[in-house]
Amino acid sequence: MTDAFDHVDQLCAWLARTDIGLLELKSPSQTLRLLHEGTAVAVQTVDGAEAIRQQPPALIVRASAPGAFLCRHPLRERATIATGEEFHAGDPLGFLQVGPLLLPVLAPLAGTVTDVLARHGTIVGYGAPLFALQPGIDKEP
Amino acid sequence: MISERPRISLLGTTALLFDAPGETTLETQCRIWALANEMGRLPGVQEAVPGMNNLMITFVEPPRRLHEIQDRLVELWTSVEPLPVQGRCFDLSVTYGGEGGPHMADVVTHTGMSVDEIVAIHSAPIYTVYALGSHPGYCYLGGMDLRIATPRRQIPVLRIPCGAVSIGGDQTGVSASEGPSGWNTIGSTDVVFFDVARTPPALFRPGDRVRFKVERVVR
Amino acid sequence: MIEVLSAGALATVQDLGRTGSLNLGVGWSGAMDPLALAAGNILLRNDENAAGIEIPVFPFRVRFARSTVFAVTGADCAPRLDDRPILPWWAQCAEAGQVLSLAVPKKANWQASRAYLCIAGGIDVPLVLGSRSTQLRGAFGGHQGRPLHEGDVVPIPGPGRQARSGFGLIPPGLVLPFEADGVPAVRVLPAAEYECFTPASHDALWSTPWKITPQSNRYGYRLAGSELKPVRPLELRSHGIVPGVIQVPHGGQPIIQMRDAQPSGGYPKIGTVVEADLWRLGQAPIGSHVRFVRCSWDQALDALAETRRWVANARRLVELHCSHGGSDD
Repeated sequence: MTDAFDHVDQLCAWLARTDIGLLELKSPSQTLRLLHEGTAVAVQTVDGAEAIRQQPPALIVRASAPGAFLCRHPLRERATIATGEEFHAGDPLGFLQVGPLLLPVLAPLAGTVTDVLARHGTIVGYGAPLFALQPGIDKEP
Repeated sequence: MISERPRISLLGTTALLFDAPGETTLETQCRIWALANEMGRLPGVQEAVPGMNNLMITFVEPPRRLHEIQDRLVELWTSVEPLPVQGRCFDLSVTYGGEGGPHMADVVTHTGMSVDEIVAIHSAPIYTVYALGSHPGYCYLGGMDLRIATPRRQIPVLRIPCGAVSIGGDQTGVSASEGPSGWNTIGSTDVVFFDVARTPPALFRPGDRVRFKVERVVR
Repeated sequence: MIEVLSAGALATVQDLGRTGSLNLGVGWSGAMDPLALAAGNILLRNDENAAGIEIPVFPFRVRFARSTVFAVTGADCAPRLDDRPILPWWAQCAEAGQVLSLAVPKKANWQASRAYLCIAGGIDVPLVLGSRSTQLRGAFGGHQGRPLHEGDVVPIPGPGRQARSGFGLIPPGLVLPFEADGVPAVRVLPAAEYECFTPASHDALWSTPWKITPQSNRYGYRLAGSELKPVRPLELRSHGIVPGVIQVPHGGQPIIQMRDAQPSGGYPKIGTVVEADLWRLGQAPIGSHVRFVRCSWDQALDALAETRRWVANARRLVELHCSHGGSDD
């Protein structure tokens, strides 16, 4: 273990205070991955360089405007998308309500939802994290 | 319902209804026409629509202060000069009774008169077009002899054809298109009352006069 | 153009109504839910009064001849573009040849029965007496003066519009609820013959639910409930009436005059549903119940102002969104 990995706790605390989603520290033999999800920071150690290629970094989708976050359309009973579900680039994952206006929260790329970060009906500010996504291979829609 | 004074009532927030006092007369109708002309000029009034001795005023926007327009109505009613009856005269050929007059029997029952008497009484007067309403081109006629007055039907009929000559209460009129009616149909005519391609689209105007000519009586 | 592939009864082209021809005996017609039509038009940056298609009976299917931006408002009828579910109350882009299918509305958190298909630029039928609404009785206006059926080709404007797609509106039915004892309600102002009815009739009018019978349509809603009795029989002279007037014919069961009602009549009137609440009635399904709530003139105007505010706000936010390079699918 090199010196860079000695201060993991400190790195986690610092990361938690930023809006950075992922911090990776690589050494020839190992990678330390700090994943910032919501208020938590998960620590992963990955042995060897290969494992990194199998798991691309997670992505956070954020609110493009202040408003009420809705995980489903007001006329629908089920959430637009659930954790673990796959989606294509451009699919709506949820909605932002601004008065009577309804804006989609669109997936920037194809992948899988790993976490829904805001609660249905809560007011969120500009840039608030809404979804954590695992990018995947874009299959034909 | 005969009242001593004019009555103004609400039709929701969409319109006001002005009801003239006394019996239904042509003289009153001439004042209603004049009142309609004056009210129709006011900026807050979308349309002034005469009925039988009454006037409906539709709003551009319902005003917060209703009394202003109500006061104006009453004021104008007392001051306005009645419009003269000025119009053309039309003869309408009618086949009374038979298939085109399915409710003749009800009028016979209610009035106690024979078909021939009813036809004679209905076709005798020169009627004045008091107003248009009910459906495109339909005329409300004044001047019917009250001896053949018959109340509107308990249950309206779903489909009465175009040209149906009918009696409702103490009024008579001719359907300008097929549709439902609560009146008692005693005959039929072929005249075209409304053509949207024509200018003006309606054949008749308030002030025109109409006579029913007996073409045939089917007993 | 759009081609009608299948239509239930009484799908008609409507705008917000034909005003100014009551003196010819021509009633207003127009959308039964004017708020939904206006909202669809706002989504597409049309004039609020642009014509759309009112769909009361389902299923309904149309094919778009060319790429078109459209919106389906009113009742949530599970809209699909080809096989893909799309969102209601949403500005949506269709490619040439795509088919829009609307199904029977499911019972949702907001009861509604009529859907509105709005098109960028509006349905392009000729103006007749100043309006594109269908005048069914007179057989003019809208699409050839009649309801749509299979095979009809409905004209729409050419491309080059400012409409954008990929955003929506929250239906006002969800944010402007109005109920009495849990039953959808509408505000009513007493009419000229109100005082001629018995106290028991007054009680029944305000306190009991009224069922919208199957004999209800754009001309009028026939209601079932207690018998409303005048103190003595009334025979009135013919007079102007407007949508919302609650007539009581001899049988004692009220009929609410709706958008295609005759513009005049002679039956006694016990009350009139206020303009602000006509859209609610327009969406009430057959078989559902409605309550009448007595209101004052001021309350009626306040309710109207509330719907106007909703529309103005929707317009403002949609324009803001679109002019900031808003989303496109």
